[in-house]
Amino acid sequence: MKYEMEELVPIVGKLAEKYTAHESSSITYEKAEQLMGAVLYCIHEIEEMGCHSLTLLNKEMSAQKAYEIGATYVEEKAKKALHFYHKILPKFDHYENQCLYDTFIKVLPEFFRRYDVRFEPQNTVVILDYPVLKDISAYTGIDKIYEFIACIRLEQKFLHVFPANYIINILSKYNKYGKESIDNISEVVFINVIGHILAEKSLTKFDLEKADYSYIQEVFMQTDLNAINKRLENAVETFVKNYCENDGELLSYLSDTISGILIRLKNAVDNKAIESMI
Amino acid sequence: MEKDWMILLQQQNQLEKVMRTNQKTERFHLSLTEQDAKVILEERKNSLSEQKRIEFGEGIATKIIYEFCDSDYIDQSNYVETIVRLQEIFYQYKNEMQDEITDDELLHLMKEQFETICFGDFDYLESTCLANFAQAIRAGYDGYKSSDGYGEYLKFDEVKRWDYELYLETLKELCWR
Repeated sequence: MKYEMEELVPIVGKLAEKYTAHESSSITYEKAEQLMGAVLYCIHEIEEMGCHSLTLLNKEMSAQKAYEIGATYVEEKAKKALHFYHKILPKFDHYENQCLYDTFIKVLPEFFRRYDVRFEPQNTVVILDYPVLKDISAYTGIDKIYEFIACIRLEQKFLHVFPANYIINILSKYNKYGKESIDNISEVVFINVIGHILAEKSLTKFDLEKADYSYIQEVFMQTDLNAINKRLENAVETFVKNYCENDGELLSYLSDTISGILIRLKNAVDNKAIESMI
Repeated sequence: MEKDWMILLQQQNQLEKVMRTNQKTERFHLSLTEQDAKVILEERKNSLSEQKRIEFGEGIATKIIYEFCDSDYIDQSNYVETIVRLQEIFYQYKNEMQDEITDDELLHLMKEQFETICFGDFDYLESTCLANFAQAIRAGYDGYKSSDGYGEYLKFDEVKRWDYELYLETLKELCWR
């Protein structure tokens, strides 16, 4: 969707008047750029809305109209994200990880307090230190926060399958400074699950033994990575089906990480360091 | 290229609006020719660019004219030059005051000081009066919001002004001695 500058400029002008509450007839370049960014962000938001909006766009919607619809959508998204956040909060567990706690409990409320939905919706306002498994670096503003909260929801759903102590043990085994680490904790747990699947060992047995590691080593040496990938995808599908209400989003979230984890495991096997990973 | 859209934003025909101010200013024996209005608007563009600001809507030129047209220190001979200079000072201090102050508050402040403290001296207005006040605003002062910019400067004036009672007393002594 492309609009000419001539169409966008009057929208920025009107927004600038609202910004100054009609009490100032000029603004700085920085502020003007910020407001233009706000207009473009809202218009871009329509593209995220899917088919319904695209139909509207095909009917040559004016830039003003596109901005208005986009702005409403941004506002609704902010409300939805807050609702989403409050829904996760009661059962939220950070499993003693300080980074997750700080980001979710301290930083996100700060975002909702300071987010300027009308004049600077493109500003993410806060820094999300906790790394989720999905790459959300291309997003800004409420889009980024919404995606982050959605990822945390999926991660919490996955982690809630296990007893809290079980997870805390895995994390401390993985990294003795686990409480202060900025690793994604569900990835650490997921690697452990993958280890159990590869070793064909029940998840109820916490520790993998020497024989299990040797078995995993054998698997990597004798089987093609694609085949292991396929096997793991099937196993994860069964896991999600049985323990996570067959949540398709969670399945896709976890499955997307398998190939990356496998490469790291293969590397660990090649360097005989598999025990430090699982 | 990058700033093209900013130029578009302020490319609005203000010439007519500036010319229309003559209707009010003529009773103060001030009027602008079309050439004068063009000079004011051209200088406005330069000041805005220098202060890295963009203007939208009606613009400040007409407001400055209406605010200052009854000044004791403006006559037809310095009219255009004064408006141009005031425009420059206005934009500069919008920045210096970090956009905390509204157009009207700043204009009231400028006019009052121009008339009663600076006695028409731009340099004093710019480098002393407004500079002091901008410093106060940056430090968090917001009393001008309730006063609309009137009667504010004396709170921050660092110069000992005329003591009129002492002046009269001295005058009496000199005249009746």
